[in-house]
Parts: sequence; structure tokens; C-alpha cells
Amino acid sequence: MSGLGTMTLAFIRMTLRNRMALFWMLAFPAIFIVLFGFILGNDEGPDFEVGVVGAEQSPVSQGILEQMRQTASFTITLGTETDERQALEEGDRDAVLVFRQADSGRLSAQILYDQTDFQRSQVAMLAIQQFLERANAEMANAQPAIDITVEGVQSNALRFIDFLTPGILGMAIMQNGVIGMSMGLVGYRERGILRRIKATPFPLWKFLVAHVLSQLGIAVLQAIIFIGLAMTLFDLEVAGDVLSLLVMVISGCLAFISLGFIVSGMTRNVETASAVANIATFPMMFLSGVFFPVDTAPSWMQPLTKIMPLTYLVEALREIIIRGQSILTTWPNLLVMVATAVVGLAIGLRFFRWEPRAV
Amino acid sequence: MQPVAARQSETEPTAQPIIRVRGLVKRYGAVTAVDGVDLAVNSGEVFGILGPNGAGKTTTIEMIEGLRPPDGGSIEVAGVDVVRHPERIKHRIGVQLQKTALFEELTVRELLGLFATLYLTDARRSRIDGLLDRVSLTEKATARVSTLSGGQLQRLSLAIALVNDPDIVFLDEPTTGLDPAARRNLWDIIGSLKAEKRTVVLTTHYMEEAEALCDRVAIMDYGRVLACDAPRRLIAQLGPAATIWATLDGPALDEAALRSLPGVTSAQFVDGEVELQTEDPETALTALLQRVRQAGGQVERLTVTSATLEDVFLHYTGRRLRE
Repeated sequence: MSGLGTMTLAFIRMTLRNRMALFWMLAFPAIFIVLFGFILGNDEGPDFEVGVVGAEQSPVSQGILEQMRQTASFTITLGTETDERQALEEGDRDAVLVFRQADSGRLSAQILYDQTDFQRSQVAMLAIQQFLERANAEMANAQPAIDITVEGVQSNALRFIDFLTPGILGMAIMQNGVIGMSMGLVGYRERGILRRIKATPFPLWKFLVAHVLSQLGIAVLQAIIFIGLAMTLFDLEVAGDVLSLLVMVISGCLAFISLGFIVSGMTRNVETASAVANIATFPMMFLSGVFFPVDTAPSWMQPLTKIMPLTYLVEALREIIIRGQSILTTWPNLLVMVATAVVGLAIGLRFFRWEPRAV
Repeated sequence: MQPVAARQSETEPTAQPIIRVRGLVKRYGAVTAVDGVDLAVNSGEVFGILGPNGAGKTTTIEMIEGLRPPDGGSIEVAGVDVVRHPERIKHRIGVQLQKTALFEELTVRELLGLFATLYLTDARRSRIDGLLDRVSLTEKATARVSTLSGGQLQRLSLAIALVNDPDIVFLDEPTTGLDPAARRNLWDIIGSLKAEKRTVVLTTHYMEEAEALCDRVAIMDYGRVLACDAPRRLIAQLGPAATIWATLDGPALDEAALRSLPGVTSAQFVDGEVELQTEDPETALTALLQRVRQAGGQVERLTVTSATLEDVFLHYTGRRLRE
């Protein structure tokens, strides 16, 4: 076998034998999926207690209420705003939807949610928002707003596990890319392994390419394991095609390897590399829609979520896995991944050193 | 021709060098790590670079290996201009680096096989196992590299240095940090390389290692080569120099009194023991015994050591290698 192939396989073998790497790249995300899958229910989807206030004010709001009633995920209670607020505070509701009609006749909707049970109410909010958005879209088309079909809603009815699995996959790809690349490369450089390779006729750039190839292999393995786990345990159905999924997994992995490459150029030892890589990935873990939808984040955070590459990877993975979209519709996200990879590589090359800093 | 050249090297250091280094310079910022080094290594000899830590040994050997570009000077290895074409000698030389860091999650056999592939040489199991046998690691073939002891790691990195069957082998401090038994073991393997007519260049800060292994030694300090010759000739240059160690009982003699003894060049007390340097051991010893007896004391313990490379180093630098 060629040097490149042998080196790539050796890297994959080393990763699979490294307990720390195995835990963070495979076990940790898998535990998330299994844990949340069981905690937040699976078969029936989450059953949300939703209070609705003021739905009788307009045909539009009545239509939305009707539609929500027909969805298995919601248990609807009607009441006054005071009563429903109290019920929410007492933990009897996951969220409360309040309709108000202004003097101008314009209808507004407000979602109140339980901040102490954030995870659950986030998902409830997400589901409610889908109804509202759909209603809005209908209104913009000047169609009778009540005319909303039930089928469309059911296909969009989201279980938390469906929402979570692509998010976790995106997170794991990010960690494999950033942490795997930076800690691997810095370790090889500082421990003198790069210099030992340099003493052989095998070119160092091929050594790097082999490392990247091994990480792509690990990313594909992550996708197979996490999606397989959710399919087996929680009946996740992958709606999109495998090829689109593969393209997003690989482009995403390359984007984050590129960021890891920057980190490896800026740091001198594995400890610092690990710290910087974690600082870089940690905010993305929570602001890129891995665990809850980005649009539920506070408005001041919205611009932040928009500059995080993980936002676009997770969005595309979700579109493909849950909504059955293909790369033909998620190509802007693919473009973001490719751009991140290219820009990251360009910046990384400026900082990169083959040698440990001398003396 | 090769054996002839090797034999000549004992008496004729300039015969047919396979490595020739001239005016080698390497700077790190304001520090000049290697400051105008000239070396010529003959085919088939074991050549040692001896010096304390920080003398520039590793920088020098890594420049010759083509791993670091020099800031000045020329390097020729087996007819190849290493400064210009470092990649052209890589398949011809074997390299053991000072820091033995390897892929820890691989097994010993996997690692050696991987390096055989990277060197584009025969990576078949039989050949790999032959190399493992040579460095006495057969029992460890399936062990993870992370589980090896220091001595085993050094032997493994030596096996890697031999994986491409090189004519020239570079060993950077091959026995540093090893216990005496492990060191002996490595010396035997290095001795067998010489028997195979390979050229060996090694760095060390152990003078006994240089004396035991090397046909010729370059003594390095502060980035310069201070002397270069066969160990026994370097020692012989010092004359019949010796060090006398004595523990005295009775009235104390001061250093000045001891220093004034005939034949003594320097005298000092080290942990209550007298240390005398002499160019003429016989005269100095007689004078010492006489002087002590005159003072009404006696000599309790007496040791006389003849010169070693340590003294050669002291002679050239005014410092001890071990300090």
C-alpha cells in the first residue's frame, strides 16, 4: 500500500485506540443522544401542555388553535391570560400562546415559556412557532388564513430526538475537526514526531493530508454511529439522501479542520492547543442550534449565531436528515463550509510552523 | 576500497571522508548555536561528537541530516550537497533523534512497518521481525509503544534508524538517561553497525561512551569544535597527566602548601578530600607523601587516576564535562 494510505490507516487506528479521543468524539455525543432520547420521550413525540389565550379574537387565531388541537403533540387548554400565566408559573404548562388584536386589526402572538424547564419549553416554542410562521406565510399570500392543512403540520411535527441528532452530529464533527486537528498537530510538532517524519523521504504535506483523511474517516464514522443509534433506539427516519448528507459531513469536517489548523499555528503546546480549541468550540456548541433552535436565542445573540460556522452545518444537516432536503437546497450552507475551509487554511498557513519554537 | 579506507582512518583522518562539513553556522536570534564547525567523517568509522548540553551537538547533527537549514557553511554527505538538496540523502541515512517520541498507540511491529513504508523499503513481516530481533524487541512486537521502557524505546528508535538499511547512521545521544545495562546493550548494537562497515555519527555527553565506541571524537563546546582526533591520541596529547585524590589525617595542610609541591599543577579540597592535578604523577605523589609525613599526619586513602577524555575536555575548556 502507498505511504499515504498506510499513514491514513495508522492515524485512524491510533484515534480508535486513544481512549480520550474515543470518549470525546464518539462516546460523549452518543451519550447525549441516548440520554436526551430517553428523557424527552421517543415514540409519541413530546406531549406539550400549551395554554392558549384570546384565540377567539380573529379567524386566523382560531384557525391556528384548531390546527394545534389536531396535533397529537399538544394538549391545549383555553383560559384567560392571568390564569394561564399562573398555570405556567406553577409548571402546569410548557408554554402559553397569547393572541392580541390591535386596534388596527393586526393580530399579534406572544409565546410565554417556562424558563426553569428551558430545554422542554424551547422545543414547545419551536413547534408553536412553526404554526405561527405557517399562518404568516399564508397571510402574506393573501389567502384565507384559516385554510391550513393538517397534513403539512404533521410532517413538521418535530420530536426532540429528531431535532437533536443532527445537532449532536454537527457538534461532534466540529470537535473532531478543531480539537482533533489542533491537538494532534501540535502534539506531533512539539514531541518531535514531525521532525522524525521529516527525516524520512515521506513528504510532510502528505503526512498532513493523511491526518485530514483520517479525520474525514472519523467524521463519517460519527455520522454512521449517531444516526444509526437514533434510528435503532428512537426510530429516527432519515428523510434526505445519503449523498447530500455525506457532502455536508465532509465539507463541515474540512471547515473545522481548517479552524483547528489555525489553532495549531497559534499554540506551542498541547495544553494550550486544547484550551484554545475548547474556547473556540464551546460557544458554538450553545449558540449554533445544537440543543435548541437559534431563533429562540436572545436577540442580541442573533448576530453571534449568524457568524458561527456550526450554525450553518447544523442547519443543513437538519434540513437533510429531518426535512428531506438535498444539497440542491442546502448549497448556501455548503458554500459557507467551503469558504470557512479555504479562509481557515489561508489564515492557518500564515501562522503554521513545522518546527517547535527554537530555544 | 571501503575496508581499506576504514583501516586508514585510524592513522589518517583525512582519507576519503563520506561526510564533509565546512564553516557550519546556525543562529537562533542573538544566540549562535553552531559557530563555524568543520568536520570530516570517514567511511566506516564511528565518529563521536562529545560535549556538554547546549554545546551545539544536536543542532550540528540535525543540520548534517538535512533537518535544519544552516545559516552558513557547506555540508556534503555521500557526495550530496545537503544544504541544497536535503531530500536526496534521506533514503541513504538512518536517523535517531534525541527526543524519542513516536506514535504511542501503535504496536512496536506496526510502527516499524509504518516507517518501512514511509521509507519506501521492504515492509514485509519477516524483515520487520528480523529488525526487531536485532534490537532484542521480539518479545515486545505486539506491545503498544506507550508501554515501552526508556531503553526499549531507544532500541526501537534505533531499529527505525536501520529500517532503510542505511550506509550512514546518525545517533543523537543514543544512551542518555539509560541505566548501565541498557547502555551496554546499545553499545553492542552500535558496535555491530561498525562491523557491518556502516558509518556511524553519534553525539554524547558521556566521555566513557565516546572512549568505548568512537574511532574519532570531536570535542565541542559553545558551538565550536575544540579538538578532533582518536580518543587515545587526544588523551596522549595531555602527557602523562593524572589526578591524585587523597584523604589526609592529622594537621591540616592548606591549598597553597599543596599547590607548591613539586609536580603539582593545581590543588583544591573537595568535600574534605584533596584533589591534585599533576603532569608528573610520580614526583607529585612522592612529594605529597613526604610533606604529609613531615607535618606529622598520614594519608588515609589514596587514589590516582590517569587522564581520560574528561581531562581532555577540562584541558580545552577549563571546565568539567559533568558540571
